[in-house]
Amino acid sequence: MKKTILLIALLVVLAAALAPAQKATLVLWHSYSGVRQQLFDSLIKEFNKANPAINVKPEYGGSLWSMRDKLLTAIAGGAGPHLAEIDSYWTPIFAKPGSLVNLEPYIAADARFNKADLARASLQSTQYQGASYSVPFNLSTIVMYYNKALYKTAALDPARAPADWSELVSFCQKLTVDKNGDGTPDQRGLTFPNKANMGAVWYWLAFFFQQEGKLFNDALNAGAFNSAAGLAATDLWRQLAREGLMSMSSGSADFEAELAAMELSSSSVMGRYRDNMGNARFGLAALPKGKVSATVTGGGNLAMFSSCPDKKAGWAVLSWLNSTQVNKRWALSTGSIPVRQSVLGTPEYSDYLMSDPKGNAMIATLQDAFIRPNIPEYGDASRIIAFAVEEAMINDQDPKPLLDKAKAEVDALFKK
Amino acid sequence: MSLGTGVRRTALYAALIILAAVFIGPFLWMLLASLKSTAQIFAFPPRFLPKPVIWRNYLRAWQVVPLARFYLNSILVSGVVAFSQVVTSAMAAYVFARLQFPARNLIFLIYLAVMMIPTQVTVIPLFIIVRRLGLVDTYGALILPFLAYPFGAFLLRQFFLTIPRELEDAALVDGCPRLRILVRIIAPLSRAAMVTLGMLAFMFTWNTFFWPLLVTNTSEHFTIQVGLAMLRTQLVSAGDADWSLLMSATVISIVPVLIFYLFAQKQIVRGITMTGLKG
Repeated sequence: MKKTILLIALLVVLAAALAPAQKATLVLWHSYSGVRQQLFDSLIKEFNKANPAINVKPEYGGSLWSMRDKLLTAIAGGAGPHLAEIDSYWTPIFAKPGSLVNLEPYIAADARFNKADLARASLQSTQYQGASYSVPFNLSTIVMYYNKALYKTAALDPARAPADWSELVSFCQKLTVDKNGDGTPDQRGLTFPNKANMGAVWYWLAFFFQQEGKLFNDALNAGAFNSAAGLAATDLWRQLAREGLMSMSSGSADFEAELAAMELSSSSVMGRYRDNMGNARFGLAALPKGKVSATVTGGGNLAMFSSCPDKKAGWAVLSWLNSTQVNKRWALSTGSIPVRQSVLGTPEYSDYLMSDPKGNAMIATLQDAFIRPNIPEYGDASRIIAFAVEEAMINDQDPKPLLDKAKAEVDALFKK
Repeated sequence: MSLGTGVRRTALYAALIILAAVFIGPFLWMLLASLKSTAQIFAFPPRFLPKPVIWRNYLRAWQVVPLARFYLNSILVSGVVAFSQVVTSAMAAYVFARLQFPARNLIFLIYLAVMMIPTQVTVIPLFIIVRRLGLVDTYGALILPFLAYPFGAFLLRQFFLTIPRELEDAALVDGCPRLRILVRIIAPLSRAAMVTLGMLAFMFTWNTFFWPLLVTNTSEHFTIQVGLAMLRTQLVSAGDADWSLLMSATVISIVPVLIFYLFAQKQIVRGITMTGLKG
């Protein structure tokens, strides 16, 4: 009898141990490789440990350049992920066809998720038709890096970057040097990805917004970029190209190799320059002003897809990854700007800011930061604009007819 | 040798050397860049030779991502696809080249027309099929859709048509089955074309990027091209890369194709001498 009871007890224990716990497995696609992937994976591991009922499976979905195609195809084929890191301007692209879950009910039910604490630009990028469809994770802005040593050689003050467009041009003229006298400058004033296929339109938008430009009309059903602002931004690029003041190759490599004295690039590159060039050799500043100061944000958000089998669990993942504690660690290790303002006040992050004035300059750019317009048409429109600007710049052509033509093409996008 | 032919020869060789330089140039640049630091790659005026030579790039390429795994996956997938395409293409090509049946040419035309449909049109239906078969993130998804491809049938059919029918007649009279004729008579005579096809299929599969990215989700099944994409430094919203690292990984990635090509080149030369009996 005793034996039987023991046996039954043993069986019960065994069954309890072997019975599959109700575990939600959620697949999360991200774009991280190398060191960032290790960091991201370790965060997920930590989450899984703290939440035994949820099992998040992180998978590499391609770089952000190729992941959108993979996502679109996989969703159409019914095998998309449950959660994904998306580029911050994709929210409307995936929300419009109904692929994303409206997060408002989950935000309302989650006392720990403080929406008001999110950086303004980050919050904006999550919105589609007045509701949140993603949560911010990465944030960056376009900033100006400049080479202090080359500034000194050109008798410029190494503590000050160009304040406005005319100073940008005059600084570039001083910093463009033909060292060997062969008629071609060996050092250029400025470099940044200025070709359409390098993502030039992101940079062009900053100049455009500095002239108070509006990409689309107020009804958001037609292009409006063939305006004075669009012409001014494009003409500035034309001038920089015509006078040989900027490098026409890619950005970071030229800046690191000191072939260009100033660079416009993502704030997230700062850490790399610190490692490769030494912290004292370069400075970080806001972009030169046009009529107003402006920069553009980039980065990644996290979204939940309608295919997610356990939406509560999905939200728990998003909310945790977005939390102050996790965001702080992510920002400190990757150089991403914190998406939560509360991170700035934490002792570790204040230490980080105090240790280098560049950090403060980087955070300060957020005040004048614009997001890329939050409408599904932006992605295709940006391509059209980029090619028009490139043509005007490379052929040194009047931008007016080119931007007019681009506007007509963009208008057609809205009629689809 | 007269003076005229001497001059012509010199001109020919000069032209060939220039042409060879045009083709080898980018490879040489890649090889040299793989041994430089990024700053050296973009130095101006450009320095041709790396100084100092940075061998560590190669070590780093293996460390940053599981390159060895991607490498094996690519070899496996490309090898199986190439072999299978040669087999299936040879059988289809033989049918289209030799057998008489109604609407043969029309069917062949339709068969070829399939090639003209752009990938963008077929990728979603193909993906759905692969998913329904439960093959997402398996070798099956990478291999199955490419086991047969019309181009191979087209290439081999054209080649088979140049082989004199008389070579088969004796075997046919003796009652040799068609499959055996294909294996014993046609295949040995077509080695050059078949190796060429195998090489093309291998290279195509080796280089394909979007399909492997689409159907694989874990690094256990990633191919080398997805791996190379992973190596691009992940700068948020800025398209830039650690070029020296990318170049060393790219050099590593082309080695099998190069070896296969050198091997195939020998076969092609031998194949051409063997099929010299026609005409």
